Amino acid sequence: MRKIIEILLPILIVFSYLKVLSFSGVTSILMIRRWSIAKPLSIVFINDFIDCLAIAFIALTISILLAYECRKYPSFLLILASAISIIFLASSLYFCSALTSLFVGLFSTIYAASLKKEIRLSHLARYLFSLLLLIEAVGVIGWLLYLLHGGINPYMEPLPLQDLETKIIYSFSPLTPVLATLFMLSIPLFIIVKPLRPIEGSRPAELLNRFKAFTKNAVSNLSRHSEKYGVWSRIFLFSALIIPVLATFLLYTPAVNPSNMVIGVDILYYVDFLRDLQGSSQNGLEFLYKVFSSDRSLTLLIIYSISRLFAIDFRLASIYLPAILSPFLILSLYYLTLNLFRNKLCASIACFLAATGPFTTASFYGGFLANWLGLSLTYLSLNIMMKSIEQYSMKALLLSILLSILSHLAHPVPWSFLMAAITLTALLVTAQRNTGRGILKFLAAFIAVNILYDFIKTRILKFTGATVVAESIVSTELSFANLVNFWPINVFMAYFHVGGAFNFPPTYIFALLGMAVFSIARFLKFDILRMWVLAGLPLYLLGPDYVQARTLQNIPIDIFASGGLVMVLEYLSLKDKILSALLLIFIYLLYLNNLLRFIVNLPF
Amino acid sequence: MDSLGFKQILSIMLVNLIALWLTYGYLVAANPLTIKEAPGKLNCKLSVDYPDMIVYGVKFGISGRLICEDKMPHQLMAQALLVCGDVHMLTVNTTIVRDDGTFKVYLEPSFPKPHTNNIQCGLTVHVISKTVSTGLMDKKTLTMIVPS
Repeated sequence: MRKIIEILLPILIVFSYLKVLSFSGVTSILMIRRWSIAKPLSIVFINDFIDCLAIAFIALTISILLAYECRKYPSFLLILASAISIIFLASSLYFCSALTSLFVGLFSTIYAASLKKEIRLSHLARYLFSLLLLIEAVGVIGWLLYLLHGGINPYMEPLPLQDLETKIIYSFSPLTPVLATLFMLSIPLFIIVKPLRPIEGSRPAELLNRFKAFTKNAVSNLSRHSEKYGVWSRIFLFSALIIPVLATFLLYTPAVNPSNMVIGVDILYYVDFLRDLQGSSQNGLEFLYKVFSSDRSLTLLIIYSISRLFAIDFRLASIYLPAILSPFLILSLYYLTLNLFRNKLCASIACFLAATGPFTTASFYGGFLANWLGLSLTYLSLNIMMKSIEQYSMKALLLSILLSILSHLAHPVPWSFLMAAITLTALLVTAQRNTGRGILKFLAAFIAVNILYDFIKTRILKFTGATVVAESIVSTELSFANLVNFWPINVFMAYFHVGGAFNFPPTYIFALLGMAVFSIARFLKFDILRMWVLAGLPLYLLGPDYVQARTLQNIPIDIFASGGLVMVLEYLSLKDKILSALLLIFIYLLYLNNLLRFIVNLPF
Repeated sequence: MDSLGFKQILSIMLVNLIALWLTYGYLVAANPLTIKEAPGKLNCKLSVDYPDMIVYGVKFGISGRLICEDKMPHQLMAQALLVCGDVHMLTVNTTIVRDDGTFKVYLEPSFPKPHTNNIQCGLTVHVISKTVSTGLMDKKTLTMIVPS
């Protein structure tokens, strides 16, 4: 009987939640064929009456079973609530009926799992994850069928398979601006709440100490458990390498893109720029001079070289460049995260979240080729710089400086973020007097050479570079008026900018958890990443929508998210190994759905 | 922490202010229930008559009709978007949907001239309410002839 309750409760909660969404008229902004569309999140399975009747019947069954098991007063109240749900239904008050059923589901869970211990919470979570996993799997099948079948807009069919998954995810979309802002504000927030320590010996103090002890222990255990999820690590890494490459080619298939339009917005600017440059240059030397005077010279040079090497035009070279850029980013992210956590699963998950999450979807929409390359080189540079500090190696430091200069040549924005993060870390190290002075020397050398390089490029050679771009953004884009209008700007950024690519709450939920982990387990490596986020805060608060989006794009949010997710996995593996496996599959399908949903709807 | 000091009071005030600001963000600014332009459920069908072929530089019209089960919603617009090749080559035009549900949109492909004799184009018709699409759309891929 307990098993029946454990199975029925997740079904009741999920489906009554969907019907509550449906009847409340909640709307979200979905990108459908490149159009941002306000779409009501309504779901009708058979018809509203039968849907609500089925839910009310499940609620009644659960409450009767619970009353039979417990024979206590509150369980009889649940029967009464279920009966009220049916009365609402008979009166055609569908919303009230679904809401009452949802309350029955939630209170039954609290009552049976937490208060009466009649059912095991881990078993309930297993069935809930299984149900969500099924919905995610149906979503992936829906997209695959659409891709194979082609032609019709997937959202226009009577009940597309991917509809349930999409609507559940988008029902959490109001959380995106709040969570992303909370994540960006997390470092000042930690400083603000520091004086509010709970009273020693109290329950909150005990809970906080347990959380801190668990986090510190889990982080130190990560390196020892590096091979624990060997198969999963390989699956996540392989998928992260291959899926964006497939997506790049998928974008130009007739099923997805019948008019064969160029997807990435910025790609056309790269193509036009190179065509103009080629047309206006008298010889190769002049062409090279003009390329190097731009702020994205390395990216332009790569597009030019590929088009010459394979005898293809700039347009073709640019649209398929993500097939090279994405695996490069994934590999540099993998080695950086591996260096941070010394755990293969954590590194692979960070790669997968980046390959299928907001970073890649936004990059596809915007055609942010230079940013893609610049961030990859920045990650590589940071990774080698961390190793140079660990090994006290000048050679490694020189290599990291070289890579950071290459990142400057690829795109000045990721370079600027790295410089700001390293500078803030150097200030932090200076403030913490117990940290070795050797670290400070390495950081200072890294900053000095890079700043000198940018100074020569921008002030002596008079080329475009990071400080010129930064000056222009600070003087023209940042303002207190943006801070006053922060929420409308931020909501626009989340819902509309680059097709709403950043509107994916799971990343920010895990990233927030990851930030807590990074703040508790104090390592210099973690501090650099925390300072990276802090460096983006003024831009995020004072910038317009595109500056906010670029900030989210250029901070290693997926490393934080993977840190948070791995902590959840560590916790679940202590309680229930099946649950942690279910969570891994769920995350895989959730992010895969995100990429497929975005890719399919990218062209007009 | 036996008594509240200045730091604690300042900290409580700041935490409350930030919490209030974030709650406003969640409940008011980002709340999907406050998206006022959402047209709700439209029990309508959109049918569009497309030309078989279009010619570069020559104006053409697309006529369509919105057939609704309930009353025809007011203030609807029909927007037609023609994309040929890349996003440089697009043209868009909008017209009001009449009370009987009919509309006619004219488009003139006058973007930079393509280098080929003919090119595949995607023609999309959206029904929009003020600025947000209602989700009603129709699409056809057709060939555009480019005169030499």
